[in-house]
Amino acid sequence: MTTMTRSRQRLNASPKRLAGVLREAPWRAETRKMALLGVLGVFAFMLAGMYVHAGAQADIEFRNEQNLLSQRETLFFEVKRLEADLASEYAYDRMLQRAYALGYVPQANDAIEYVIVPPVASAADIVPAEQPVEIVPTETLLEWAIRVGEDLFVAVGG
Amino acid sequence: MDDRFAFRIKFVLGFFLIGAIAVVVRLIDFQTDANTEKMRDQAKARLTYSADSEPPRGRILDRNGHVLAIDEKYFEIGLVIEDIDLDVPADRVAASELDQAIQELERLGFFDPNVQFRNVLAIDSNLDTPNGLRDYVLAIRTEIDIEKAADDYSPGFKLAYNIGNPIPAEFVDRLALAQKEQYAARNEAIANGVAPEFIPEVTLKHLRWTESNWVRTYPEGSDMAHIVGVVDSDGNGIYGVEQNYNGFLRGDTVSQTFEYARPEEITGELTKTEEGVDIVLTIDRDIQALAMRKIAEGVSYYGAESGNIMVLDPQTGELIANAIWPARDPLNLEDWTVRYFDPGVSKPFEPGSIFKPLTVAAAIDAGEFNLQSSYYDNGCGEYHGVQICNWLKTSWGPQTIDGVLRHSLNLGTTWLADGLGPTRFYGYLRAFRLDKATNIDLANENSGFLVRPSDAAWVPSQLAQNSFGQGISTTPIQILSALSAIANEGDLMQPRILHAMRSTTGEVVFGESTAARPISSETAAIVTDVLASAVEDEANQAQVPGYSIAGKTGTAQRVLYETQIIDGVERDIALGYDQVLNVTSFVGWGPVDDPQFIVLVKLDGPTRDEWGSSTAAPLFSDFVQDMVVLMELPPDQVRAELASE
Repeated sequence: MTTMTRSRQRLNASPKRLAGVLREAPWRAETRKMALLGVLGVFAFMLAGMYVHAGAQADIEFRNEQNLLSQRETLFFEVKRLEADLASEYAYDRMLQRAYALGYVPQANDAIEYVIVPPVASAADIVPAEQPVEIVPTETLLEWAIRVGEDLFVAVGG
Repeated sequence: MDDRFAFRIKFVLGFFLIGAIAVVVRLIDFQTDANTEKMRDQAKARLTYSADSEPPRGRILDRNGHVLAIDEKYFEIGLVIEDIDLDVPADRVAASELDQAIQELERLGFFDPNVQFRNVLAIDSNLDTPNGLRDYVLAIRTEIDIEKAADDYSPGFKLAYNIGNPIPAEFVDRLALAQKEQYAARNEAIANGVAPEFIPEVTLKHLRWTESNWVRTYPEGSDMAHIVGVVDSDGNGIYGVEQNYNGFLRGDTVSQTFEYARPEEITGELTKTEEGVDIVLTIDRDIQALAMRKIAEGVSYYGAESGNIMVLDPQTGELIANAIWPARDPLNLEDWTVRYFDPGVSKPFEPGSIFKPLTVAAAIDAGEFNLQSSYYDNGCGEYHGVQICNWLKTSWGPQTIDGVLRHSLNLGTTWLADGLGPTRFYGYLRAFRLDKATNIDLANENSGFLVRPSDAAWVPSQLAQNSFGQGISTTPIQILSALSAIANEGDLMQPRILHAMRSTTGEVVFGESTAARPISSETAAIVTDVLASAVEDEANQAQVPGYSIAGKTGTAQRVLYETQIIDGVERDIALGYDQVLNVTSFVGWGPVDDPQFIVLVKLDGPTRDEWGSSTAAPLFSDFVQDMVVLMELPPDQVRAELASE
């Protein structure tokens, strides 16, 4: 009942009134523009966020890279230090001290006996004996053809 | 309502538009401004920093790969005075803190208690450089006068006492941990509301540390110092190999630019530093050490002032050992100012009778004399107004070339040189390259003194004197190099100390080269045979059991010099001959059939005995007996048996 009355009222409206009714409400236009601006704003924020995120990631990677470079440098210094330590350990005086501490006693030159060792053949000098491969035929060509044919026949027939 | 809203929108957009236009205008202004470049540089400077990176010097190795010099990174620890407010009693803790730190350093053995550290004030206005490198100046000692430091402090400068230099990284790590723990304990106490009087002090807060430059380490110490040289505070080599090959050893300093974090440009290119090249020497570390010990013993036993043992490979010109005594200390700065840092290549001496084989070789090679040529030896004779005598003025009667070398006769070499004449005699000396330095690749090499007929100072009697090594001077390397031509069938090889260069890209090995061929191989063989028989008969103290040795003794008068500064340069002015002390020497090579070494032994001013045959010759024998073992050189008989198989 109530619905019918409202429809009638609309039908009875003048064209001007009708145009006024059909015209978009100002608040709707504003809302749409605001929504558009909002979407643009959100999009801008997303872009900015992505930019900041990417920047932060890059920054983190930069720091990581710097740390790795620093570690590499530290290790390089450590290698050099170990090399120097090793060189000190192998210094002539140090080696001599250690040798004496271990009971080394220098020998007179006439105590040295030179022993002539017969030359030993090196691996390169040893040539493996050649083993000729002797091929002894056990069947003729005809026998072979018959045998292959029989095998084939048996295989097919079976 | 609509109009108002539209107006508001336009108004806001208008603001944005004006702002954008302003930005664009300003950008255009930046691009066209006269100071654009300057502003760009300023902007870049704010986003980047640069640091000079000094790569380590290359290593120096002996022929067997033993390290003779290597760089190691150390740290410096400093006490920054600027941080200390002397008006605050608590900060006087710094003084005791310093003592604590130094006690810790001493406990860990970083300080040598026998070394008197210097207390030098260090002022540096550039301690806080962007790259964190701080350039502390030397200032070492346990007792720092902190009140005086405060007086010396002036605003704008930071004042730092270096209390430890160099300090290994290991200690710095421990110190950093200790400092961190102190701060952590203090912060924890504050957070827990501990009463102020119970809050622990950070006693290490004034200590700073920084990487120092690379520090050169010499594992072989004074055994090699005069050959290898040293490096000064600027990282440049002084003396020896360090100086001669400084350009290769030092590498390239690279200026690296780093960019602070920016999203689109993370960092600039990190350029790898160009490390120095490794230098491999011809020196044998073990033979060098043996030679150093033998010459030290020899100088001590014979009461000499100094001495040399030099070993050369006559077939390649490679310097195997170059021992001097007194030795140089690479850690003693005073030694750096020694004029003849390596006397083996820089200090000339009158060679005396070890020169005679050159005169004999020249006489035979010229075809003027042969083994049958003879003269009558009277013991003394006059030559162009100058009395020439044999040693002990002994008369030897009829003599051949064999006798001249066997008995070391001055009249004999005078006879030979006179027969050759000045032109040919000095021509041969030039062929033996005695008129110039050998050009061995060691820094500060000098040449001896040779006056020739074309010089105004030359007089005819010098021909006789020069023939037996008097009135002429050579450096040890010069005379050894010249005599090596006789040992090496007439070929004089270019003496050298560089065996190879190594870098990350590969290795370059340097081969031998012939510098001259002063005599024929036949002449060399004749002189070698005569010298070998002379060692067996006359200079038997130089014999090496089991090995055939050719050699010659030398006893020369010692020239006394006075050093004067002329035109700003130190020069030696000869004062005349020493009437008391001589220079004794012996040069020998072996095995005669295939010489692997030629050795010079020289003693300056021995007091136990005055003759080369009884000082340098036995020292030569003693040294070579041990050296052949290190060279893995079997006796002649064993080699012959090996060759016959």
